[in-house]
Amino acid sequence: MVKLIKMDLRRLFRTGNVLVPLAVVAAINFLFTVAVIVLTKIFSPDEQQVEYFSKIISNPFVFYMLSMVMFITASSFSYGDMANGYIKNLVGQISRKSYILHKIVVLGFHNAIWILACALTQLAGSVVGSALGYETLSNDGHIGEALLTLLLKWLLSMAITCILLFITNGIGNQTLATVVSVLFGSGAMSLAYMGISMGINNLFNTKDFSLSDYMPDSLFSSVNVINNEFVVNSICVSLVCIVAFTVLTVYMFSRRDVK
Amino acid sequence: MGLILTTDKLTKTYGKKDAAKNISIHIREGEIYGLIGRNGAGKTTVMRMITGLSKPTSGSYQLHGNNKYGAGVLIESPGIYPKFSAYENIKLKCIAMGCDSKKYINELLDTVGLENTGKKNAGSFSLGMRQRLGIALALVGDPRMIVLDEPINGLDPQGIVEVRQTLERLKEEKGITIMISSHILDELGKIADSYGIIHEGELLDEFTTEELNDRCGQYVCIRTEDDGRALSVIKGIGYGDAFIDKSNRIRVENAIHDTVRLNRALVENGVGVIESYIKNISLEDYYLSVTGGNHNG
Repeated sequence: MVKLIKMDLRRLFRTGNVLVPLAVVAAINFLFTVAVIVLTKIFSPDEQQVEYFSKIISNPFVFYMLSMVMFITASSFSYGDMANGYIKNLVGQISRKSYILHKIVVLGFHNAIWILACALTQLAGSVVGSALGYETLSNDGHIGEALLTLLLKWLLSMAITCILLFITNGIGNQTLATVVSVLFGSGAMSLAYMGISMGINNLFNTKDFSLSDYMPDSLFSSVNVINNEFVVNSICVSLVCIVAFTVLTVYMFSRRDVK
Repeated sequence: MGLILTTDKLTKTYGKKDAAKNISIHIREGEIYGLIGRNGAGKTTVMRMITGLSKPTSGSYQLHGNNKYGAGVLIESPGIYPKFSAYENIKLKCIAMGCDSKKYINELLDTVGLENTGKKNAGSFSLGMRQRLGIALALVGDPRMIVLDEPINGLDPQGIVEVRQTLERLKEEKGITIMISSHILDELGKIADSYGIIHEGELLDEFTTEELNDRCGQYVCIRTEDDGRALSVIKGIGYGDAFIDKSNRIRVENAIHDTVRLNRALVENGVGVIESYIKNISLEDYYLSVTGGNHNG
């Protein structure tokens, strides 16, 4: 499996479909961070702007919707072998279980690179804003918790990626995977979760059930170790999704004819 | 030569239709095995099953001897990354198979005649070049057997010759067993050592080139100015089973070493001979006779 991981990592770093969107999103992340700092200073010149390192690190995407691009490239990359038929060169000669497991590891690298690149570009934007004198950067002593938040966001992104991998490799439908990526990455599902939560609350006479507390896409935006928000939920939901969808994908992929 | 691949009643069913039914194939090590059949006969289905791309509904297959990575495969179109070069496409699979060295990859490119493609994207290759890249990918990891589905379909004459030469070189120099399917029976007849005829999902016959020659043989074909009279002359000199075939030619079996006497007898009896030649029964003729088809069908 290590050889397969090496193979796909090489492909990851040579695929324009991954690197170009990453470069664009990183640039947007940087430019908007700087722009927000400058505009805030222009419209509120007397207000003292203080930004904490921990806040920047724990929210890597300047817009939540930018994570949508990360999920789209993940689903596109995971379907790459199938789209070109390259998979025919591989699956007859290696175990199908290894094939799926190596994909998950490589997608883990993919998501980590995306999240780190976005966190770093946002940090760079804030440093530039600070250097221009529009903002003061400060350490509130929560860097450790911020990094843990980032780690949980990565874990939740892996939960979503495992769902996408199930759709691309288990079912073999990239279009559906792209639609799900958009829905999960854009936050569009929150309305549906709200409606379902209301229905469940009415049905069982409860008041405080919220489906979004248990869905990986909602938790991806709301988890925060600094404020101790949704930490346990995030860990449990991530692990359940990763294990369940990995098992399902291996099961489905092992029984599929490869075309 | 021992067997390298055998299948035992291999069957694949889609819904209620048997795409392949009770296929028992025997392929000997080091030979080129041609699988013949019309579109939808089940050739690709069989090849997909023995290369692990598709699960058999029932039956089994076995690759004999030491086959670490199974059989190399080129099924339907070659699976390549169009934005990568030939070198990069091969390198990726080499990494996965643990045989990643520049020398090894260049040797593979040499073998299939793609050594001068440089950094050109595989997506801009001609169909023949793509097929040869597909063959190179099938060879990664040095499998003892490769399975090629219609590798010369759609190629121009030059491309067909290049692929044929590549396959002959693989067989002669590396001793690789090749299973190949093709509609172009003349081409297949030039390289294959054994054949399997598959029709409507069933394997109708398996035979070697020698067996094909024994079964089909040759005959003398004669066209004259008066076929009725010529036939009686030919029968009169001892060829009682001669007959006029559908194309209005006199067919004389077991007479290929007696053509001078046949010709002389006809001329001496005043029958003008338009043409006289030895006809080989081709692989195509045999295939059509086995499947019950005809040249136009």
